[in-house]
Amino acid sequence: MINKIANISSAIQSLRPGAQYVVRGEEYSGIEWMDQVLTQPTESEVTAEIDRLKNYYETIKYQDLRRFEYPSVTELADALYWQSQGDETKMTEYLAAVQAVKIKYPKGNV
Amino acid sequence: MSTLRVNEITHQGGTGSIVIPTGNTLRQDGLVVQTVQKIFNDVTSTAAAQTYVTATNADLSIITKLANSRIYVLISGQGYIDAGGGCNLGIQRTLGGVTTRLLGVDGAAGDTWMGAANANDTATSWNINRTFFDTPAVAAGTTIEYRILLGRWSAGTVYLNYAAYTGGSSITLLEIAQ
Repeated sequence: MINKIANISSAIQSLRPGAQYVVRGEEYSGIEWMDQVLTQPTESEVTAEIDRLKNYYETIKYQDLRRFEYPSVTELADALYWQSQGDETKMTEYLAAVQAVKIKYPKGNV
Repeated sequence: MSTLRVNEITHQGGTGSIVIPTGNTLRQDGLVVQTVQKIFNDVTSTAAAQTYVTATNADLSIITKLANSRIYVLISGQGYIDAGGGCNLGIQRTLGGVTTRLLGVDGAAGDTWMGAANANDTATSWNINRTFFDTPAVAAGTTIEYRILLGRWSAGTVYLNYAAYTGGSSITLLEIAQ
């Protein structure tokens, strides 16, 4: 799992969904605009969008971290089966594991 | 030109290195005459549909030591695509001001999807290696430039290399005597 990075490409995708372009390097001057319909965003638009995305990625980082540590769907299916058979043990363990992940990676505060 | 006919050449001391002085070349068909390589971390990203684009700082030149050598081109790229759709790498050659596409076909019937990451619904890393055995047919002392191309099929943005993560992609050229 990698950290999502707000960059020129991600800013362009956000500002002009579906646009066709190339970015060589990591400067605005490296943009080659190829779209025949959508207009190239200005440098100030791109810069502002990169800043916005950086903040957004930070606030949702907890979701990625949680996703890789939650117990599996297979474990949930097994817990549901035994619950249907009157045995709550596995479901209690499953819910405790989910809660531990939520405590480890609290929302918006990683 | 004179010819030396012998069955064996041995070091004066019985064993040791037999040196070909600088400025001279021992030529044997199929022998590697020289090797050059570049490793680079520069990032190129593309969202151009079904098109190969030139990658930045992904070029390497070789000056031939012999006439009519062949050039073996090896490219190795690593990167990331943030949605399914597929990507690939290509190779172009520039010689005497003329640029020729050696590997990589644009368009709906092309191969920009065929290297990696097609039919994935989510983001993924990728690593693609491709080779081309070129026959430029040039005199000794000719400069030939090869460059990596980056292709993207239909979805997501494809990155060759990725910001903040070093490691590098590479291009290697071998001159092979003919």
